[in-house]
This record gives sequence, C-alpha cells and structure tokens, in this order.
Amino acid sequence: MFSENLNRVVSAIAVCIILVCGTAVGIYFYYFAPEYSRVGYQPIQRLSFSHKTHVGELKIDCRYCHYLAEQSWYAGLPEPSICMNCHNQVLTRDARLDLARLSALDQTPIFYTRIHRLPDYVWFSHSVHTRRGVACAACHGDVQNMPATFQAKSLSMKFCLDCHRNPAPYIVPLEEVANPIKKQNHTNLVKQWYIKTGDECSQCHR
Amino acid sequence: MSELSRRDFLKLASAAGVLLPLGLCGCRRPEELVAPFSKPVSDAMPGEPLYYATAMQSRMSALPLIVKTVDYHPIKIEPNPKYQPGCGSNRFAQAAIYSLYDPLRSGRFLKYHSNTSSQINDSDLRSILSELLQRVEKTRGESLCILTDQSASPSRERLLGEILSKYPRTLWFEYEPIDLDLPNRALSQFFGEDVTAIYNFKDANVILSLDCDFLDSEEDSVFNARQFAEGRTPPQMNRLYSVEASLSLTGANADHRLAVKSTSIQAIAAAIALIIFQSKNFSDKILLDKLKELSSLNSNYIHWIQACADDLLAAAQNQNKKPLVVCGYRQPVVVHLIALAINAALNSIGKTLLIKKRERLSKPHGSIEELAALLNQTTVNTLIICGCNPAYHAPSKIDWDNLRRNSETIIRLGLYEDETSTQSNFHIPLKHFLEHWADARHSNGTLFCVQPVIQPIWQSLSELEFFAYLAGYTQTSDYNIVRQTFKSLTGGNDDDWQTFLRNGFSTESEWKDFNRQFDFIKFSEFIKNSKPAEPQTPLEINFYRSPAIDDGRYFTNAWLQESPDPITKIVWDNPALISPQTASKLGLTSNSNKTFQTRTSVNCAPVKIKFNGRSLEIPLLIQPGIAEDVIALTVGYGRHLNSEFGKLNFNIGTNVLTLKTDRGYFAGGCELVLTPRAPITLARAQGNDTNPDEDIIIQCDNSRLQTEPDFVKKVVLKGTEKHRLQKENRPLYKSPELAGEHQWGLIIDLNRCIGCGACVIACRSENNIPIVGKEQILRGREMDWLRIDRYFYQDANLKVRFQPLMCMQCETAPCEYVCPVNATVHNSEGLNLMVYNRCIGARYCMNNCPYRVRRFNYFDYNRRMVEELFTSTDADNPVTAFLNKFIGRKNPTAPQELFALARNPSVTVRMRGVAEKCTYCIHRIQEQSANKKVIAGDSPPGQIEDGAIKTACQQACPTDAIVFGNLADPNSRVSQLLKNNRNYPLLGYLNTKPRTTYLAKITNPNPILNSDTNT
Repeated sequence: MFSENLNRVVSAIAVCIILVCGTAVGIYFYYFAPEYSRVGYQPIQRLSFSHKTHVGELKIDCRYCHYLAEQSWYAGLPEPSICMNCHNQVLTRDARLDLARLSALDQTPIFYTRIHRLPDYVWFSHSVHTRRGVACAACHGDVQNMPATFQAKSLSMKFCLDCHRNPAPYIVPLEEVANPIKKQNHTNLVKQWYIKTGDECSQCHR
Repeated sequence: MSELSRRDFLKLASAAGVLLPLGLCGCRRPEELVAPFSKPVSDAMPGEPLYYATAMQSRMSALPLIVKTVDYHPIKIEPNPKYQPGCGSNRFAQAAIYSLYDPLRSGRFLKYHSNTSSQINDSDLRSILSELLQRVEKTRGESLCILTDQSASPSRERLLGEILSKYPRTLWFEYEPIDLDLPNRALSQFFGEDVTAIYNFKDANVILSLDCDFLDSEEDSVFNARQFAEGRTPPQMNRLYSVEASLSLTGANADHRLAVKSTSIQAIAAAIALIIFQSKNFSDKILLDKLKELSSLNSNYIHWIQACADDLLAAAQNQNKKPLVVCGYRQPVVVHLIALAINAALNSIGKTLLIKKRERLSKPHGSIEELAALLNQTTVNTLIICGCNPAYHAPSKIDWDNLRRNSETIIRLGLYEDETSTQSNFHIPLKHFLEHWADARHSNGTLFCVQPVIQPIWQSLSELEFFAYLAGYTQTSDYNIVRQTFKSLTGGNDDDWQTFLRNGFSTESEWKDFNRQFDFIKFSEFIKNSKPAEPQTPLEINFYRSPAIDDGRYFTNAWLQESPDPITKIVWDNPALISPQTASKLGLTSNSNKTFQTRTSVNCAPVKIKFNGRSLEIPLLIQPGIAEDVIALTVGYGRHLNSEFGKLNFNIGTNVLTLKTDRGYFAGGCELVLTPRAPITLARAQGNDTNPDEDIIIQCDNSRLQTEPDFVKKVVLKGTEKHRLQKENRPLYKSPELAGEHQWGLIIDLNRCIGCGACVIACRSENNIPIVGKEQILRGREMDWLRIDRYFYQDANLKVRFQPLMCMQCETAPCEYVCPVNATVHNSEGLNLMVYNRCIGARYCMNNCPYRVRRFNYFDYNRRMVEELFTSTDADNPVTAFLNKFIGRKNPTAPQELFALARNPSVTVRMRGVAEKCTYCIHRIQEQSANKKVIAGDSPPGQIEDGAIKTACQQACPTDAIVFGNLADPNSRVSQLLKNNRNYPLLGYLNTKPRTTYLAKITNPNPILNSDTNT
C-alpha cells in the first residue's frame, strides 16, 4: 500500500526527532545550568564599590563590613555608617561616595543589585559555615581581585553537595576563614571538629 | 486589508517560529535589589529571632505570653515559661497573630453621616477630641457616658478612675455578653467585699463541676487545665464529676458526667449540699429544709448524686488533698453560693479554693441595663463606646437600636468597623494588643506587661491613649502611663521595671488572702428567698461561648473560624445542637439521614426555634452527649462587618443572640419547628466516629492499671495477633540506617490531653499552613498537619476520647517507598523528610499512609485573598461578589501581601500541587543544631540538651501532654516516658515503627458508679 521509501522517511523523521530533542536537552543542561547562566553575573551597581581596593589592597577583613556573617544566617550589607567610619577622613568629597554620604545623613536607602542568590526553598546560614571553617572565598571566589563583584561559583546544588559530601578540601582553621584559599586538605580538622558529612535533604530543605 | 492567504499565514508562522528563540535571547535574569539598613541596629540581630514578653487580656484575667519577632514583626505567640503557675496557651492566644495582620481590621478614622461615611485625618480627630474635652471640662462630665468591655488592665482602671474623679458626673458602664466574672461577683455579693476565687486543682482529689467548663471556656482555663492534668498522673489521680447540659471539654474529660438541663443543676447542687450538710450534722433546720425544697426535682439522678456526695465527703478526710466544687458562669448566683457552701463544709476553702481580696483601682457604675435605664429617662450628650459592641450583643429586651438615639454623639473605639460603628458618629480604630503598651492583671493579681512588638499597621489609637487624653494627659504616652501604674502597684524602681519587662510579670501586686470564715447563717439568709427551678416546658434553650470565636470578637479570624469545635468538629458555622433522643422524640432524624454525607460534610435540617415571641432559623445538628430536651446554641456568629474593601458578605453562621433576651444563659419554654427547606450542608473536620478498635486509643481504669501493669502491652499484643497478615510479622520495608547522634521521638500523653486544639493553631502559625475555607473542607481538603481525632464510645455512658495525630515519622515509612521522585526520604536522625521542591504531587504517599496525616495543596491557598474566605460562594450573587472584591478597595496593600508578614521565614510556603506534612518542626531542630555549631566553632558541637528544642505543638500545649526529645539519650524525658508501662504505638501491628507513640488514657471512675449501668 505504501511505497518502501516511506520506511526510510519514517526512520529519518524518528532520527530527526531524537536529534532535535537531544539537542534541546543538551542545550538546556548546558546553557540553563547555573554553571553557565549564573557564573560571571556582574551587574552594574548604583554605588560602585571595589572589593579589589578594599580587600585586595587595603586588606580590610571581610567581617569588618559584613559583620553579621558570623552571627546571623545572612552576612549583611554594611550600613553607610560603616563606610563613613573611614570615609569621613578619606575621600570626603569623592562623587562616587555621594550615595553613601546621603544615606548616612538622611537614611535614603542604597540599593544594590543582588548577585548571589539561592532559591527560596534553600536555607543557608552564613554563621554556621563561617564559624565551622568554610572560607568566604569557597563560595564567593577571589573577591579581593574583583574591581566589580561578580558571581564566581555556580552555587548549584551540586556545588553545595560537593563540599557537604567531602568537606576536607574546603575547611580551613577558623583564623583563616576570611583569607584567600590555599590548596590544602584538612582531613584532620573534619575529624577533630566532628563535622557532619553527608547529603541529607533536611540540612538545606525544610 | 485582504484576507490572509493560507500560504502567507504559514510563511508568517514559520518566520515567527524562527524568530522566537531570538526573542528569548533578550531574556535576562530578573534584577533583584537589596539594601542595607540605613542606620545601625542596636537591639536586635537582623535575621535572627527576638523575643518579647507580653500578655493577652481575657476579660478579667490575662495570659502571659512570649512573642517571637523576626526582623521587627511578630510571627509567633508562645507561652511564657517563666510564669510558673502554668505555662501554656490557648487557641485565642495562638491566633492573635492572625488578628494582628487581619486585612479586615479597621484602619481609618471615620465620621458617619446619615447614610455614608467619610475618612477623617489625624488633625480632624484631634479637633473633635479637644472639642469633646472642652465640653466635658465645662460641664464636669455632665451627660458623658462611657460604655466599655471588661478589662484586666489596671492602667485603664486608673485612668477611668481619674476621669470619674475629675469629672464626677461622668458615668461608666461595663458590659460583656459572656460574663466570665460572674462567679467572682456572686462571691463578692455574699461576702460584701470585692473578692475573687482562684482554684487550686493541683491539690484537689475529687472535683465536682457544676456547669463549669474550667478546662476551656471559663476564665484562666490554661492554668486550670495545667493543674488539673498535673493531678492526673497515675497512680495518684483526681476524680472529676461533671454536671452539664451541653457537652463541654470538661464534661468530655470527666470520669463521671451527668447530662441534665441547665435549670436542674441548681437542684442537683442543692441535693449534694443537703447530703453533705446532713452527714456533717448541721443543725440549722431552716437551711436543710430550704435545700430540701430546692432539690425537689432530681429523683432520677439520686444514685449519682449520693455517690458523688459520698465521694466528696470521703475525699475531705484526706490530709493533704481536698475536694473542690466549681460552678460555671452560666449558673445563677444561688448555685455559686451553694457550691461555696459545699466547699466550706468540706474544708476546701484555703486549700483548693483560694479566696482573695480584689482591689480594683476603680469600678464601673453599672452595666448595660443601667445605661439603658438612663437612656430611657434622659438624653445623653456623648456616649463613648470602647470595645463593647452593644448593637450586636446587647440583650434583646433592651431596645438598643432605639435607645442609642437618645445619645447625641456616639464615639466608638473598636478593632473592626462593626455593627456598633455604623450606628455611631465617629469610629476610631483600636490598636491590636501587639501594637501598644498596656498592662494586665491575672485573676490572682499578678501584673503582666503588654509590650508593643510592631509599629501600628493602621491609623489607630490604643485604649490607654484615648482615656489618658480624656483624663487630661494630652501629652503623655501610653508607655509612661503603664510605667506609672507599675510603680504605684509594685513600688518598683527603674531596675525592677526592666526586670518586669524582661520577665513579663511581677508577683508583687498579687491580691492578699481574704481570711473570712464562711458564715452558714448568712448563707441560710441568702438562699432563703430563692425558689426551686420551675418545672419546665419541654425544650430548654442554652447559650454558650463559642470555642472558636468567643463572643464574636474573633469573627474575622480565619485561623479560629477553621479551628474545629473540640466536640462537634464543625468549622465555619454554629448549628443548634440537640441530642439524638430528643431529635427522635421530636421526629427530626428522618430527614437528614436520607441525603448523602461525606467524611467532612454533614447535612443538617433547618429548623425554626421559637422563643419568647421571637424566632430564628438555624441548621440543627444531632450531637450525642447533649442532655435531653436541651437545645445548645453558640453565640458570636452571623455578624455584619464593614471593611475598607467594602461590605463583605458574611454568611457565616447564625446570630443566635437575637433570641437572648436578658443576662441569663438558659431558659425553658422554647419551641422547635422543622422547616420544609432542603438540608443545609455544614463542614466538619471529622465525623461522629464511634467505638474505634480498642488498640487505637488504649484506655483502662486506674485501679486496673495498678493491678495489671502490663495491661497496655497486652492490648497491643492482642491487636497484633488480630491483624497479623502473615505468619512472620516481618516489616514490609527495609529499615533505614539510623546513625545520627540524635534520634528524635515524640510522645503524646492521652491522659493529659484535654482536646482543646491550641496545638492545631500553633502548628498552623509555625508552619505556614494555609486556611482553605468552608467549601474546600467540604471536599475533604483540610490542610492541618496536626489534627485532634475525637471518638465517642457509645456504651451505657457516653465517653469521649481525644487523640492528637500528626506524622508519626515511621522508621519504615510506607510513604517513602511509593514516592516516584524520592521527595520523601529518611534522614539519619529518624525523621521522615519532605522535600517540597522535589515533590511532583503524585499523591501516592498520601494513599499509602495508614495514619492519613499527609495533606495536599490543591490550590495556591497561600496566595488566596483572605477576605475571599468570608464570602460564601453558593448563595452569593457573582456580580456583587466581584464588586466586593475589586471595587472600593482604597488601600494599596493587597491583603495577602500584609499577611505575608505573619509567615514563618524558617519554613517553606508551599505552593500548589505539593504534598506536605509534619516533620517535627525540623526548622527548630536545624536552628538549634546550627546554634550549637556556631557556639562550638573549632570544637565538637556535642549533643543538643534535652528540652532545648520544643515543637510548636508541645510549646502551645497547656497541659504538657506532648513531649519531644532525643531517644538516643537514655536520660531525656522522652526516653523515660518510652519506658512507661502506658506507652504504645498507634497501629503498631503494621510494623511501621512510628517514632511518635502514645501513653494510654487512664480514667479514675468511682467503683460504686462504675458497676452500675444506669447512670
């Protein structure tokens, strides 16, 4: 009833469909994965702040400005009064600091564009991580060399699990938490501090 | 334009298809803005919870509370553990968070014209008030009347006292439709001084409750319930006798319950008094004759009464403990005095019944009857109505609608734009108690502080601010007033004030003992003129405080509307209750049985109740446990409120107060007629489940448990044998590895649980559980993670048992094995986790759960407008419903946006299509273990201490019936209870190995009554 060529047409169509679907899945897994879509996100901020100057050159500790990092679940953005601790002496007339000065004067909020963001169904606590030896740089990358901050790590679930399953390469002694990461493997710390390893859902999802 | 050819259409379509991905290239991740605090925060750790001590007033008493705030807004109400007489909370306290963020709460100053109303601003209000003040000053208060509700605030008493002394012609009236202070007033009337009665259930061995629901609807029920439960730990157990008309929680928890008409309770009290006085060899013949006359009605119950009286007498012989007779607010003064006389005869006064001298800073001139009499005679220039809502709940023999016209100006202060507001000239919104400074006194005189924990959400005033203005303090704040009252009551300095705020209470101001002997001659005088209750025409009408919405004050509170009535389990409605016997006598049963009923719906025949020349149509629910020839009605429903969103259609329940003519809560001579209309379908959380298998709720007598300590184990074994499906009872599923340092477990003591339901609302508040509304409940889509099953045992006596049920955290959980996406898994600490972001809504887990504790989010209930719940869908005109919803809304804040502040940020707000369930408040576990780690730093964090984590239900429980803890720690409370011989797993034979287990219910019946089946 049908010509024999039709068999080939059907199989060709099947192959095409598989190819198209495969490509679509491939595209999705590559381009939509946080490793591609999130890493390198570098929005232009209203108040341009250089971590390179402050951390890299002036060697200010992360926790001087993000002082909640060891106490609360979120690290906190510095209030303008913290900027003014130094900047009432330094660069007192610099136009780049106008927003901060205004905010310190009359509480006009300074809006930054958020860079690091976790989904709403994930509970992450800065205090637990910083107090248990996970370096800032482990998740935020080499901030001291960023003139404008960008997202350095994917912060995907795999990224979290890599460390939760095997924390040894990422754990540093507490006094080095705010320092840049050196290549090392602190298996002993994991043992001494009783750091719980594993991938239980309840650690992040409630 | 010419018609598009097929060819061109295809061209365009394919071009669009090609260009579509290009369009997607323009997609950017949405920009999210964050801002730092613009000023440093000194008193709080941003992101971390901060707790404040406060208190919630309940008429003439108060409940001390701790409010949990996160980022400057309150999210949870918790009991104050420092207040030792009892740490617990009730439904109303737990639901206060909802009332605070209630979008229907009034938030604008209003001036009412003849037909319309207009909003006025702050300065207008100020000028109106200063005008009022000038007029009052000029006339020294001539024809100024103040009508308030009852309040436990000494500051308000002080201010009103100052107003009355400054303007001596001002009159102050106080009115409550449900007057819980009546027991105290009855005693005061007898002693001739203001006294208050405090019950000490801890030292009571036999308790007789005369229509007194001291576990739930009376004042101080939280403290009573705690003490009552403390006295019920086997082998030492108290015994509770209850006499009542409707079925209350106290009756449900009683060892012996006598269901009689409310009018007969006087006779029963007199009969018991008579027996006790006779056996104590009282010689006052007039008194005995009078009691004999009063007790003339009760020949049917003579056996019960004799046994109860004998038991009370025997209990009075005990050295340490004493019996206690309590009488409820619904009974007239004479019954209260008889109860007092019995207590005196049994030497209970000073042991189980403590009488304290109450010193209120000022007292009202009268109640609403006196105000009505005044308005009848003269016109009043200004009437200030504060809190009280007479247009809704004034007794109907007072023609309030006409009387109020005798007042030229009515200024109304209220939380809602309600019935009274629309009849007033000015409406001033009151602040919620979480928004202002105040104080409150417990009935024993302890002073509690009421602290604001949030800036006022709406334009509003607090009671104290208003009365302070009237008293002439035009500049001071409510903070100063409260502080001054604190100083004058306790004599405390600044340090004491700080301690007071931190603890939440100060015992310095406790009332002194009232040490006057009970005078039986005076008592004889007092009851000389009382008459025995008249023989009644068949039906007796009874009015009760609503367990859900009190006297109607929580009408718009959806958490409370959807909290099931502890006994009937009805939500969002108030049917009339009648016993099955009476129903069949009146020929009412046949109609409702014909139509289809589901687990969560019940068809009720609409009936007409005729009483005192008035009539009312109401659905009739046939409820076991109600006394014969009694109709029980619940007040508070069928209200009409306005809101900023326009008039809402409140078709919730029926206003039964139209039948309530006077202060009495019951009366005979009521008629019931079946109306020919179709049955009305009501929603209920659970049907009238009767006689469950004996291993569901294991129970036995105290005496049996003592002789047969392994009784519970035997019942469990018997159940296992009966249900064993295979020869070897191997678990169907593999046990997960449980290597964690903590193994969480929870034990519910059924002997302590009174079934009040505070835990249900606490769970809702803590876990962001949405309210679904009546229509969804009818479809069986309730969302509560924790429910309280109520079972009836229909043998000779009606027995009621309660069983709280949440996820059992089975070690071999059946739900886990059927989940296609691994969304529910076990962790090493024995918790059956639910990963919401993984769930695809297959609902296999729900079907495989033998306990039916998993819930499914059929709609995005959390996004639903709150006021939608208050408009019933079936009867409404869709056009008006639409208009109500979208037109006339002036406030830009969408209700659900405001309500988002009430959500717990530690718990996922689940979306549609996700199965959800209890996980033992896993966020509390995680937060506690995180805290441990933060403190530990570079050392091992160690085990979490026992008691450091309390689940929300455990915390809210007034009787401490729920214990949570680490089973791996042999010294933890939960491990100790696990070894108790009353411990058993629910449906243990299924081998699910539940982590939640129960302690069996133990009763303590009187052997004489127990052997007899006639009672």
